[in-house]
Amino acid sequence: MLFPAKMKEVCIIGLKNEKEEILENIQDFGFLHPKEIQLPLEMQQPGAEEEISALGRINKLLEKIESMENKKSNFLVDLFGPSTITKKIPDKINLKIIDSTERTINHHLDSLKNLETEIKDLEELKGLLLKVDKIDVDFSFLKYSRVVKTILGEVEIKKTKDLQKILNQFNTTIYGISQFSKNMGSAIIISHFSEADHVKELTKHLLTEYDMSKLIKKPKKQLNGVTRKLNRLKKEYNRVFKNFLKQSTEWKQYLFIAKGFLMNLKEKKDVQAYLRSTEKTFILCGWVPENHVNKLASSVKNFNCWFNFEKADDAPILLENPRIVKPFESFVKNYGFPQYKHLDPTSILALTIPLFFGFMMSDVVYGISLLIVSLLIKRSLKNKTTEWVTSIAIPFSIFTVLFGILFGSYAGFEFHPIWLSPQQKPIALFAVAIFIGILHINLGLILNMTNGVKNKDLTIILDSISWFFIEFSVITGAMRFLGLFEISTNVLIISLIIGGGIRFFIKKFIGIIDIPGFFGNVLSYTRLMIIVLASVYIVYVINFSVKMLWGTFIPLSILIFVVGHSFNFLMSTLGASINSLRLHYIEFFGRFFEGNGIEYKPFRKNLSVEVI
Amino acid sequence: MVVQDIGLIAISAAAAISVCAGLSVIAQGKAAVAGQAAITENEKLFSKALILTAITETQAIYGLIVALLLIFYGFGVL
Repeated sequence: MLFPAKMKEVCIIGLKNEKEEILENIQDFGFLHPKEIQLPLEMQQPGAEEEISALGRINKLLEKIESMENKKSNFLVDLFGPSTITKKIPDKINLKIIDSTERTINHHLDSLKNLETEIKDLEELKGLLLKVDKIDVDFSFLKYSRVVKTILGEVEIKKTKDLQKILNQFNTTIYGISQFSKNMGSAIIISHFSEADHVKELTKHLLTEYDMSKLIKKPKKQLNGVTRKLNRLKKEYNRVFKNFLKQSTEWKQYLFIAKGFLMNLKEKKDVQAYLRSTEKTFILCGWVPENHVNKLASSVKNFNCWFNFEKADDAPILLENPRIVKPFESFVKNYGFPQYKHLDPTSILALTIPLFFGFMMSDVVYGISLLIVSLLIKRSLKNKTTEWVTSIAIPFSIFTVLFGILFGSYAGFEFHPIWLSPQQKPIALFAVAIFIGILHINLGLILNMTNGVKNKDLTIILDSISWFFIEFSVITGAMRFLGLFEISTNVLIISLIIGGGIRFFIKKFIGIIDIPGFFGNVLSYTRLMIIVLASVYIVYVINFSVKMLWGTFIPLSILIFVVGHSFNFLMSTLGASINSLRLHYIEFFGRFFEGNGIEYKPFRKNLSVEVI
Repeated sequence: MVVQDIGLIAISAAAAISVCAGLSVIAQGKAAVAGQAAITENEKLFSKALILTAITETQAIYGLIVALLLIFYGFGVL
């Protein structure tokens, strides 16, 4: 629980003619993390081209389906991802269905695309017809006339007089203007061929010409037909789209399962890159958790295999934690995996992250709201992210309620604080924050020393001891300055010299330069107090405004209460979680955690897949 | 000891926090933009981006501590 799983280094030598079956059994066993071996033997080529190509096609199809479904996405889905269901991957599937599914999906998408283009064209035409519908002229006749030429265009109403002035100069030209909006109108100019070019030249600065090619009869008549066709096409589009969405669930299910199946095949071929072989044998090495060693041996007992197990000095990291603590592994993984034989801080984080969060949020109503919001999110979206959010929200809200009771805060209204009132005793809160900081950093130093003892590394042990000496000197010195503690100056100086001396001995000048930074880290814990006070004062302003308006305008005061508290709830949740993480990642992890371990990724057959 | 000039204490405290917070925010903004770009390229860099962004915030905390000490000390709370 406090350390990653113990590993054994294993090498398996088998016969080449049994290679496929042995690899399949090892994949079914699912606990071997393969390792590169440096032997002057023949390398195997992974050769998973077929699977990679099929996976590429599946991903493309899934992207296409997703792009169609995205039209109906919402804020929660964007934040937490879509709902998923778990489906079993069968031992065998018919991969030929990928081809037929691809054809069907592309056919549907082509139909939708054609309908979209047609609708777009008709909407453009409808827009034009609406602008010219008062012009009672049959364009089919005018367009093909050998006597006259027609110009149809848009003109600003304020410029119509200029246009009329120009057109009145011509004898064989007639025109009409119809207004379709407050400032704009459509003009039709019909000129004899002899004058047409001249008219066009003189009016081009006043007119924006329309494309008449699609006008085939009287506009009003054509508009009715276009509107009917547009409605019919839109209905058709909706029908095809609904049909697509209905079938997409089935397609996606098949594609995700096929993807999982192909990934298993690909992994089996990829592992060949770790194999080295002679003419008749092959060798595969890796790491296996100590408690699975026997299972590995029994998984290939029917084959001619030779095993060698050795104690691992360095190995990939498998975090082993109880179920209740498991969700907090993400916080460790986000930073990096611990080194082998070093402490896994997940169990400590499972207590301290919610504790810091609860301290900063510290409100009974907000704590309960946090739990309700997370449960509502989990109810409306079922996937791994929402499950994780709920599992961490429970301890977060418990600590928030607990500190809310201790600080007597109920939606910002103070009611019998059991411990202290942040608003009335900010100094006490400041002292508590610093005290928590000292405890937290010292816990980090103790964990660092544990790492040192476990790995028999004197430098790590001395590093922690030096800080204990320096801390003793500075903290007791400060207490003496404040008159809280009596201690001889000589003791303080000697303690400081010993601490500084050890640091100089192990890290030279860098060790000395680090000292102010260490106390900077302690001061950084004042953010625990600052976030509490910030939230308290924001809530004070909200509640004060509500009280002022309550007698005069009740609906507004209720609105301010709801909006104000929702805003503060969101800001407090964000601030408390980010600052809680920061205190762990920088101040706490900085004392003992390096985070450069390698993640344990076993050669494994996935038995199920998450289908969106 | 209580300092008599309350206005001077208030101005000093305001200067301490506003200068520190203002400059810290400028640096934090730059770090956040760079961090966001890095996360877009590689999601695993989230924690490192968060740390780099948070580091600059420390200066604002120091400013706030100075401001609080000025107020507490000046008004005789300490």
